[in-house]
Amino acid sequence: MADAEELSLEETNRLRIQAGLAPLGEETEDVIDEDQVAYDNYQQLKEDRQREKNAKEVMERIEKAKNRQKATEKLKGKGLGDASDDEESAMKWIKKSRKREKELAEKRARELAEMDKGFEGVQYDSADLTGMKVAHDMAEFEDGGEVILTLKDRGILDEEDEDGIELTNVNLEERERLRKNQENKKKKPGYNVYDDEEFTIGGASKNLLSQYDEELEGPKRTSFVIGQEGRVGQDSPAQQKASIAQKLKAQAVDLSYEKMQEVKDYYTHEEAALTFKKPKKKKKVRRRVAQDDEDSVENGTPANVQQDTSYMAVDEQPAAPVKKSFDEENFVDDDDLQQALARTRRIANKKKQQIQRITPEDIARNIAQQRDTEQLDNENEDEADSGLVISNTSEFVNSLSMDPVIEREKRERERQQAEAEAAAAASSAIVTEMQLDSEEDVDMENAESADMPHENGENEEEISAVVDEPLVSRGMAATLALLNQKGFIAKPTEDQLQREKHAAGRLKWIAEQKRKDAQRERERERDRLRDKERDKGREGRGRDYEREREHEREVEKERKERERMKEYEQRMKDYKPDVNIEYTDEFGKVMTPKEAYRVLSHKFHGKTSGKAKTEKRLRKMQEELALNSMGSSDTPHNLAAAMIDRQEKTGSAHFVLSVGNRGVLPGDEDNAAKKRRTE
Amino acid sequence: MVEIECNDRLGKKIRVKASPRDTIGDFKKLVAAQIGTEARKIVLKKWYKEFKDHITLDDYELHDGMNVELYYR
Repeated sequence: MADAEELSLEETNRLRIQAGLAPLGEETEDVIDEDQVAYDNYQQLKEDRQREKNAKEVMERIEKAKNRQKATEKLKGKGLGDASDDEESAMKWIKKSRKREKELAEKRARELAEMDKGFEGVQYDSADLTGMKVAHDMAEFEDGGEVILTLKDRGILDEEDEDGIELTNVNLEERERLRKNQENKKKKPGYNVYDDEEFTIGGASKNLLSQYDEELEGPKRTSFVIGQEGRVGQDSPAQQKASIAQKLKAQAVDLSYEKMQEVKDYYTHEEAALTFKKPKKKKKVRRRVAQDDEDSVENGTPANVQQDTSYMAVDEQPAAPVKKSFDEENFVDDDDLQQALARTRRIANKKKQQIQRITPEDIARNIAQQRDTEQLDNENEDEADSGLVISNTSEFVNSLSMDPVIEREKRERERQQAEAEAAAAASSAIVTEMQLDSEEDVDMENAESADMPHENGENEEEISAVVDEPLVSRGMAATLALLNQKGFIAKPTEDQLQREKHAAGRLKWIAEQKRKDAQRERERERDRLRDKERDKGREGRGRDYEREREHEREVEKERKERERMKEYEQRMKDYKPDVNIEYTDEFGKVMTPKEAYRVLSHKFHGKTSGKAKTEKRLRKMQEELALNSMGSSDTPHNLAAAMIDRQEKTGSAHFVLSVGNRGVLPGDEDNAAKKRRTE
Repeated sequence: MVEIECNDRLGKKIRVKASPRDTIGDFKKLVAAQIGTEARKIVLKKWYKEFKDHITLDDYELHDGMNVELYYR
């Protein structure tokens, strides 16, 4: 550490003196003993405290002395226990009290007298009641009853009413309170949709949230004032009107209803009465009336006859009502009539069924009969032309006149026929059978022969241009015929026929197998029985024998197994299963392999063809359907029928389609005119 | 009389003779006379405690031979 600079004491002292400080070295003499100072200080403090304490004590003493002096000043005089200086005796005290009593009595008597004087000469009657207010509604008082009214209670601090005195009856008040409590118990909804000024007719407008008003303003009370000479209820006409209006207003219909009503299982009586009643059946009554009419007619006729047989007109009269009643029955849905109709219908149906069930002999008989009748009819027709008769045959004949049409049709038919012949050679007879059936009088047995239908078909072609379609109602055969005619049933192809043959073979094979199986089963059963018997016979022999037998059995089993295998092989040699997988679309139509592939593909990929494609397909299908459902002898646009119609109209076998560019035929009207002239 | 060392640690180190009853202000005057810096520019410290001018050395318990840090304002 480097040496610090230092000044000498003299230099320092000089500096100190210059700075105005005491020079060093002098102060060394007066060294202060701090302990001594502290002691002195403490002594002084103690002394001071002592002095203060003393002063306080003195002050308190002085105060006490002063208080005592004051108290003694108040207690100056005589105490109760001290002997009184007065000469007051008991006698004196009694006299004094008596005097006081007398004075009080006099005062009271004077007051009473004054009161009496006030009431003297005043009579209290009904006139005094004038202007008094009764705090009840007039309606509360029963007629002829007696009600005691008292002054109404009033708070002590309440100010006097300007209306005057109010009268009330305790019972009535009680009743009012009870009514109000009951009213409060019914929970009325605060808000009412229909509770509007326009719905309370002529009523004063309600305050906002009026349901809380009562609590704020206190209960509203109706009251009336007793009038002249105690009369009551003699209001002026205006007042009466007002009161009536108020009553009517109170009766206004409330449109509110319980919205949150629970649905109950049962109706109350009122609700049940509201529901619709079943209308009573009138049918029976009407029928009875009709019967009555008839009865009366029946009854009446003889009576009339009896009364005056001379008047024929009168006799005829009863007939009219009968007719009338029938008419009525026609209009009314009469049960009897319906029943009768139903019965006849049933009978007719039965007959029809019988006809269908008839045997060949019956048919032959029928035909013979028909021929007879036809002959008869012809004769009859010759003899008597009785009106216009429209029949199938006549229609036929009518349509025969159009030669050209027939020619064309015929050619077409022949072409079809050729095709049919080719197919029919292999086909079953069913198809043609159906065609046959379309004619009424041909029986089914005839159709069995394959040759017949052609002849028949040819006949048909010769007969008609418009082929009659067999009626479905005639039976199953007719239905099949129709279907065939319409092309719903496809003709069997070569392939189909082949398959059918296969199927037949297969059936036969299956039957054979079944038979064989049964036989084998029987054999096995027999073997088992034999084995069992053998076992029974050899029971209880040695163990060796058991083993031997076991071995034997196994060998036999093996042999049987081999046999069966061989048999199975043989059997399966001929096995040709007929597998034909068909896919149908959503309409139930059998799809071609191509279509089926498309559907499967769509299903697999989860997408279908677009709108246009689908529509096209549907259109195609519809067209096909239309083609199937149209008349088999006509084009899809019914051209043949239109042509026949035209021919009938013009009466000529031909007609001109167009002349040059003109759409209208010039010769039409001329022809018609000519025709008319000739006729 | 007490001798107190003042060191500014920058090269100045002095020993000052003073009375214990001298105030810090008086002491600063003596220091100023020795180092040639004005008394009001002088700051005396012991660690972070700065000594105030009106309090005596005795009251700060600055005894003979003690060191005081010297700073300049």
